[in-house]
Amino acid sequence: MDPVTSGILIVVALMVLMAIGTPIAFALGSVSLGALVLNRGMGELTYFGETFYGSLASFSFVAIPMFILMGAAVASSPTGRDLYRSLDLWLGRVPGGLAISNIGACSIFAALSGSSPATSAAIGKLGIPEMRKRGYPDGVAAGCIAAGGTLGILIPPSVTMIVYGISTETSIGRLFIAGAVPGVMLALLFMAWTLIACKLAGGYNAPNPVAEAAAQVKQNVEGNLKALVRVLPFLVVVTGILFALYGGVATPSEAAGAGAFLCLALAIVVYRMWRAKPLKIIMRDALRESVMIMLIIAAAEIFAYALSSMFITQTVAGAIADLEVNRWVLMGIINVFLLVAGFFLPPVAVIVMTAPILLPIILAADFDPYWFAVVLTINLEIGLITPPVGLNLFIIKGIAPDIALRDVLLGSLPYALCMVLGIVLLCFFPGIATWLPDLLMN
Amino acid sequence: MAHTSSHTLLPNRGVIGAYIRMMDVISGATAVLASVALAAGVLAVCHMIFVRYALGQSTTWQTEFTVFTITGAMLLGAPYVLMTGGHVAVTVLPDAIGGWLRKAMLLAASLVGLGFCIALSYGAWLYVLEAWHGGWTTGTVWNPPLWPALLPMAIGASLLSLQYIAEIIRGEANHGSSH
Amino acid sequence: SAETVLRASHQFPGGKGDVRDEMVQLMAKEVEAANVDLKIQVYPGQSLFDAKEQWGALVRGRLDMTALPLDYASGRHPEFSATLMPGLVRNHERAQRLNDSEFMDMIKQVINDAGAKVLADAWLAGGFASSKQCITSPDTVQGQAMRAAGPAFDEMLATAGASIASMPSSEIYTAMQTGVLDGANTSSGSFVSYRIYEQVDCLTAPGENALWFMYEPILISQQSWDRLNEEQQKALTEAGQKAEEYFAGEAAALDQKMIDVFKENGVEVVSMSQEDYEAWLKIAKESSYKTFAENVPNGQALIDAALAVE
Ligand code: NA
Ligand code: NA
Repeated sequence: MDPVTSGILIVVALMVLMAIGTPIAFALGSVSLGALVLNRGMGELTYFGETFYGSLASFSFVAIPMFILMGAAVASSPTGRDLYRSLDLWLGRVPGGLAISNIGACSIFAALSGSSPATSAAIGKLGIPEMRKRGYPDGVAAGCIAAGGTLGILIPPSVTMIVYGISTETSIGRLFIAGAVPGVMLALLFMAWTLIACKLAGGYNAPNPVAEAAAQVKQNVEGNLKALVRVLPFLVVVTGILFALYGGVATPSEAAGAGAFLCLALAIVVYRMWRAKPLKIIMRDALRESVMIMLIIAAAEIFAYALSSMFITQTVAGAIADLEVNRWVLMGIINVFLLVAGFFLPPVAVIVMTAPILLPIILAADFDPYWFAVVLTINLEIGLITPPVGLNLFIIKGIAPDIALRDVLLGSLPYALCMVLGIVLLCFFPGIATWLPDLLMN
Repeated sequence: MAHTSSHTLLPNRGVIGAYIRMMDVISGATAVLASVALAAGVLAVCHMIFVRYALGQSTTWQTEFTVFTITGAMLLGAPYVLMTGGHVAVTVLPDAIGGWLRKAMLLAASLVGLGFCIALSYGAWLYVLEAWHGGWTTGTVWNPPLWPALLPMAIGASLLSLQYIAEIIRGEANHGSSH
Repeated sequence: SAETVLRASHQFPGGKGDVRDEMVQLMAKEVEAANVDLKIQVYPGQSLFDAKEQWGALVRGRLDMTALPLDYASGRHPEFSATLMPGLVRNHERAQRLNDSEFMDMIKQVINDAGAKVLADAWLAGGFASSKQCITSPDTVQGQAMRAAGPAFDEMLATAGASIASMPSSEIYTAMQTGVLDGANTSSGSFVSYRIYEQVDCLTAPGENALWFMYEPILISQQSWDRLNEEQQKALTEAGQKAEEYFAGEAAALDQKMIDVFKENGVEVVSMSQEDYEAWLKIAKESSYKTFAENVPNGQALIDAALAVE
């Protein structure tokens, strides 16, 4: 069977397995294993232990569970609450201020955590009920948390940038920095839309009269200042860790290990979480998310191995490279492809499976691999808030099960369009992604 | 992940109920082990940083140790994540169809997942035994035997298979898709 | 009859002039030209198997061919550590004589027993680089933080008073930049491709008395070999011979290229003298050779056989 036919059959089998509800990791794994056994014989089953272990066991990959543990230490402690309160202190009275604080809190939290669902969960747990209490439309409340949370993988540190760096042999430190300015840009775009959405909805109908609100603000100021004091040490630690990483003082895994340890220690000291129960919650959350992600990565690696083994990757990449279309048409096609892949698959899986095909094409068309990493990440962020697989949507559903899925989706859609606008801006002004790394690293 | 693990139709009597309860306990216990391994990996990295930067001495075992403990933690934690519905799945289509077809689709999905886990267990044990019999080491400066690093994968994959059977019996193998 | 396709995997960049990639590509061309219904499909840059997984895949017949630093498989066959043993080779001329020695017969016996076969020999030279002090005699590494290249080198360096940090070769650059490492030892090719010249003040080039040599042969799985007909086997053997000759011509040029690049970047270039080499050999005999002899069944015999070569 020729590589293209095999490739199509594999993709169809994968879609069928995913459609009937097979967990993504197992669907990827069984399709790959099935293809390998059919193509190369039962021997592949015999070596499967070695193949699977080899796909996971590297010092670069272990950075991912450690960054997730760092995020969990912050997310499962009251840091999210405090961060939220500190921002509310400044922005609470601006029209739409609460929704803007939420996006701000998501951006700052994104700098503390490498993952998007964790960011949505940490800020959303408090933010969504609070916004609804103060009369914000359900769609805006859900949408701004779902979208704000996606910044978790763009603003450094980022789990997906680590995977991209490993798959493409690019510098993870440089990838991290490349995401910083685009991350801030997206946060500003989100805020701009939120203001417009609130105006369109006729402002937010705050249920509490102005006088009452003023009294409450006065009462809150002291508490909010204390909250700020509690959050600061975390920000200092994480900033230090990231600077060590950017400066090349530490490898991503060293930075992740030190970050996880320090944030865990801070959670214990600042919030007195030394008892077994809160520690158990931190470890449980970290384990659940990292196991989910790492199994998908391992399965996606085997999928990539199966495709390469059957010469499918090389054939497809060769065919695309021979297209000889305008490089921007090529970039457009790649974006549509990534967008569609992002609808169905979590970001890490898309990167592991497609980076080996896409990177040579990107380089041949003379695009910057770090700039492309940012474009790729924003595409995958859109996938986080679109059905059928939108990790952030699952989080919102968990926090506020009574908001109708339709409202969540409609509320998130404009933010997805903000991200498309972000990609367009990046295409016109590549400097948004490349300026900071050039400044800091060259 | 959003999940509401509502173990409603738990058949709590007889051998089957006992099996499900036993698996839940074992998966919970290996999750504790996995947490300890994850923490040990983090501590080893911190130890390496301290020894290398503060003391300026040789660091030979920490990198490998971290890879082994954290990779092991991921596989030991997998049964617990299955039990609590953490492995992401898309159940939009079966949920939209409903009825017996939904049940059939989800059962087929679970059987595919179970098949994968059994294949992985088989491959993993084979690899452990080969490494054990061959006296394989990692061939690095530290050069420890390889099999203890592989054992968590074999145990984790086996328990994952057994937990999958428990989930199928529990009749709601569509965990983690509660959206 | 249908064409037989052999899958060849290696870890080196493809199509960019890396000598090991060139060797495999040359064999692919030769075999094609021989017109014996045989094709070699090359998977460069770990696009099929990770570097360290290749040996296992090869001996089980999952992978047909590979260009492999043999020491990577020393976890399964401790004898292979002898192919990255300090001071055992010394220079390119001696490497040529070593290829036809009893020492290599013993190594190739282990390779054959495991289920693989050598098609082309290649010994790559390497050196030392430091940002602190030129590394020549053993006392020059005292107090330097060095990167671990393999157990045998580490033991010798540690015995001489260096401190060792283990990390992947891709991290050498960063580690030197930040002062985690003062010195490193690796192959001439890696020194250039990892741009180490930007971080160091002194390079110890291989010259006549090199400590660092690594055996990176082109191997074929015995199972794949047995599936070929006589004509195909003959074509492959001849292609291997051509690749080996090509490498012999390139080996010294690789070292010269490293020297040129480092000099262009203002790095001082030295090499070890006869006395330096003897002093290192004395330390190696007390440390890494001794450990090797103790831990590997025929370890002492292997070392004796290698040192016996003129
Ligand atoms: Na982040
Ligand atoms: Na999606």
